Amino acid sequence: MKYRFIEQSWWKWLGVLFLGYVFTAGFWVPLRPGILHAVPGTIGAGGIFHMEITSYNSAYEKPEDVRVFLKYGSGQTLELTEVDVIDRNRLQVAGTLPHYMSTNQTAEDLSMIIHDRQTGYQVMPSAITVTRSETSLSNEHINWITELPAEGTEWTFAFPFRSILYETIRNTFFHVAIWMAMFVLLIVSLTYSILYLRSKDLLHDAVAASFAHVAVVLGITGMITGSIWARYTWGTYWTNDPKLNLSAVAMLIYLAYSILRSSITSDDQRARLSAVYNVFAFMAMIPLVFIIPRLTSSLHPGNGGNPALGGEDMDHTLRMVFYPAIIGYTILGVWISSIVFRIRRLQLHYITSDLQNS
Amino acid sequence: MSRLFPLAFVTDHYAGESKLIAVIACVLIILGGIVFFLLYLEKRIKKLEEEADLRT
Repeated sequence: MKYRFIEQSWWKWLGVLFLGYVFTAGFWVPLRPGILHAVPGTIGAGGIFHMEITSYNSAYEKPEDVRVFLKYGSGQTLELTEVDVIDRNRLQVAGTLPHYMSTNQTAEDLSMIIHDRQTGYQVMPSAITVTRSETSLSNEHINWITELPAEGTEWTFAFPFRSILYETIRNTFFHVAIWMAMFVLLIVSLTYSILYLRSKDLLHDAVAASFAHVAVVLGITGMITGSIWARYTWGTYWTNDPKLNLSAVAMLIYLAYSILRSSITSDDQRARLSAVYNVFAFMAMIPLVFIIPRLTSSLHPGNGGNPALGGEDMDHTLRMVFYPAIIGYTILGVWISSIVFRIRRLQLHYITSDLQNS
Repeated sequence: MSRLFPLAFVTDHYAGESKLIAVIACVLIILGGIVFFLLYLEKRIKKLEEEADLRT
């Protein structure tokens, strides 16, 4: 009766349902509108300027629905006076930039804010640089105080637009969720290794080995999806980053677990040694993957001060797909592990029967 | 870059909505294939377990 759960099918279909939802929503849901770039990127203070703004996934229609603002510091906001819609994703804007700015810098980065009545706000930090030949202190500061529109827009199911990440933010549902599922499987494997050391029941060892092997497959899949993401975000499949290198080391430690198992012929000895190794492998993985990359500077989100699952990168729409993705991959992993376990159990049964017969 | 980023090697060729549906359908068919393969394996294992009297 102990392993009856693995023969039930309702949870397997639940996992398939989750994954079907994840693949559909993960590809189908669009990104929210955002600003890609503004040309020219540098303008001089104290004169009229013209600028072309290119946005992504926006739907500009009427110029009167669109307002464009430049902002720096806290609350220093200037509305651009002329806005023309070129097409759904492009605006031609013009405005007058005052000499006065409340800093003594000769160059200042300004954020750009676009408010479209149809789609809401788009924000681009450090969108343009303003240069000043003189830091005059005229009374033009009044030009820098503009109220941003308070009206909101209807909530739509769309993923957040993040600079650098853009569409690659969808990899959260693949790379990150697969690794989360891998950790769950490794915890199960660790638990059964400890159970084996207490009980000396070879079935516990079979469960531990099955989960560890499937976790390694998930880990490698996670590394491949991460590598593809890196190619599109960092420009390279692999870089000398502590998070990447140490994750690879953690994977190698678990690959060595498989080699260790296959190199020992005695069932009891193999089970005992691999259970002890599994405990140490898990303990080694925690600093390698979770602690050391956070202590050093790292490009990888979630490390070296880079945000990952916090408010900067994750929002509720992403979570609506991300959490089901973790559940879905975990269930798929448990399902495959259960099949591997049942094969091992059959092998153990036939080995024991052969021994009894001889 | 299209929203088909995870299939980066086909990205912009499939950016149109109808082709997006086609790719999602392909991914779901692959998922279905994996599921049916696992179900097939379970069926085979179940038969062997019955022979070995290992059913729980």
